[in-house]
Amino acid sequence: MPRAAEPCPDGWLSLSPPAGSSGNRRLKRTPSRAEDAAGTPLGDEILLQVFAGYSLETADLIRCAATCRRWRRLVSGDAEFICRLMRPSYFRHLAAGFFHRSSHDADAGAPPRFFPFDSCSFSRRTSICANAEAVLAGDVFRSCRLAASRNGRLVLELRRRASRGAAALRLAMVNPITGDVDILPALSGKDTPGSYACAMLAASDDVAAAAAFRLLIVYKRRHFTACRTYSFDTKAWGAEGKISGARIGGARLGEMDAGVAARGGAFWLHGDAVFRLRVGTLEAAFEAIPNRNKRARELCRCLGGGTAAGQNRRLAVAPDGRPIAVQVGRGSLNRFVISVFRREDDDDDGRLVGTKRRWTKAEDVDVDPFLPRWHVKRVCIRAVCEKSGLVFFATGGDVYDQQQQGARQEEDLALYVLDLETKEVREVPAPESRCSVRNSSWSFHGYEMDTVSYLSSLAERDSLM
Amino acid sequence: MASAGSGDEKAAAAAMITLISSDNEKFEVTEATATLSQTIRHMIEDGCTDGGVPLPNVTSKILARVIEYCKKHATAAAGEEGSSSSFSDAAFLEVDRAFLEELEEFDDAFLEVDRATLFDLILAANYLDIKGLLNLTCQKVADSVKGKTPEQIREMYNIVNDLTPEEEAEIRRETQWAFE
Repeated sequence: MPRAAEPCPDGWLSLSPPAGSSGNRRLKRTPSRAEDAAGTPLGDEILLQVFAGYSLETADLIRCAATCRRWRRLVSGDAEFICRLMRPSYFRHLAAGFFHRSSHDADAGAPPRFFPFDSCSFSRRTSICANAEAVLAGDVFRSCRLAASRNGRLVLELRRRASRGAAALRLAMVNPITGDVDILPALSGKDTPGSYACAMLAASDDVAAAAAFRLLIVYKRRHFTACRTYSFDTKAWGAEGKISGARIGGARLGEMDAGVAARGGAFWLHGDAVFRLRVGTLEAAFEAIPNRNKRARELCRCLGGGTAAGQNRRLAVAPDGRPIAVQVGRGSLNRFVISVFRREDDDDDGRLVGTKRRWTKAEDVDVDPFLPRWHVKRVCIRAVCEKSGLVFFATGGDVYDQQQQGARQEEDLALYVLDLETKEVREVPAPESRCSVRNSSWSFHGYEMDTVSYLSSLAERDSLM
Repeated sequence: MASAGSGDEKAAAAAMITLISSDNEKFEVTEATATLSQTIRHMIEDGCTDGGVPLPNVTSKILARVIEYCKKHATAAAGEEGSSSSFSDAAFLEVDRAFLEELEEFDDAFLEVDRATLFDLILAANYLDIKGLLNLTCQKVADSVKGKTPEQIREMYNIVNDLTPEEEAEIRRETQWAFE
């Protein structure tokens, strides 16, 4: 497995255990050391139980890790175990910044660049920068496209070159924290998918029983919709599966942003519809996100073009494990709001319980007070970091305009981050940017670490060298 | 095993087990009380409890407390079984609710112990594999750590800080938000 070409100053991090690698491990027995004689008589396993199972928050764990070597070793070394038992909640310090590629970068074949938050005091930030830069500067990644960013990993589509027939699909997964790179076996010949949509499935997503990270792609065959899963455990693509229940065309697949995984399914957004695929049974269905009030819906051309009328919305997963849709709308007095729609759960038979609508509005967050009084004519969602509960959005001085697809939209005025937990908005420094059209090379993806990597990185540096 | 007839269970409830602490004190308990411990349950199933069960890791002081907990919760378990078979009876539900409240009060009072005793109870609960007691005591430790500074935690748990000043500064610098 190739690593970052240049050793980064924080190279010790590359030794932190990859999430999901040790599947069903319960507790790691670490022998107590002489230095542990003082303090509590409690063994490592009991302390780990205390750290993991009793609603301690991440901040509590970090303060525990700051008490002594042994506790630090437990919190960092068994972060995976601890995180599995922890009560999920938004943890905004996971968000490290965003990956962005402007049209200018794209013309030059330059890879996406990482823009760290200035407020992120975490030193891993610099290693994310260094690793991402070192990895993406490689020749393999020339003219690549960033397809997804989730759980601390990036999925990149390497340039598709057609020699004969359809161009083979070559994908890579990069972990910028460790610098690890996985180049997936190319899907070529009769296996070549045309347009496709992808979703990263993590062990923590509660999707089927697999422990390791997987990448799911959905694509069209002549008479049916197909899917295929790559397992980072076995390093192989599984057999092609046939999706039942609903079909989706190649053009729409090509327009969809990377999907999210939750509640046993993968979900992709297309306009006002959500394409849901049950990962276990490969049953698919379309679900509607209510959108009756035209006025309450502010489209932006992001991810639009083609058959999609454009959308100003992203899918994510809430801490309680439910899929949510985050979108821009207008509230009273025509103020800009960011609305969260929540997906209602199924009962055991896969039917809706207690409510008629599948997606219902959970909340509106008024972002108007945080924006400059004049000039702002559009608000466009750029990305949602679901583990940290942050929503990136840009403002523009021009009005949403779907009629002139070819016309260049004006540049964004500013980039903001909304914290879904505290409802606070702050401006963040941003490169020149504008709404992007799906499948063009402009891209914007929020980047957040996974909690396991975050806690692992508290480890004693010398011992990991 | 669990599907054994109720006749067996009644017989089992009457059977007595002798537990022997590390300092050789003997405790007579009903089988229903003793089997809250998975460790002892397995010994009973294997038929090796004749002549008493030696528990070399548990002192008489701690064993007495553990048995106190098990007695209370064994009657609670029996009560639950009784009420579940006639749960439609409102009177039973009322009794049940009152009993659960009483149990909660018992647990709270039970945890009013010094730190050394708490640790001993955790170790005993772990050794005897008594899930409820282990949960109760671990929760107490977790609660005591919640929202505390590293200094407070060290003092509380008699932890010697063996991190170098540089290491400690580094953690604080990188995760500053957790210390505010």
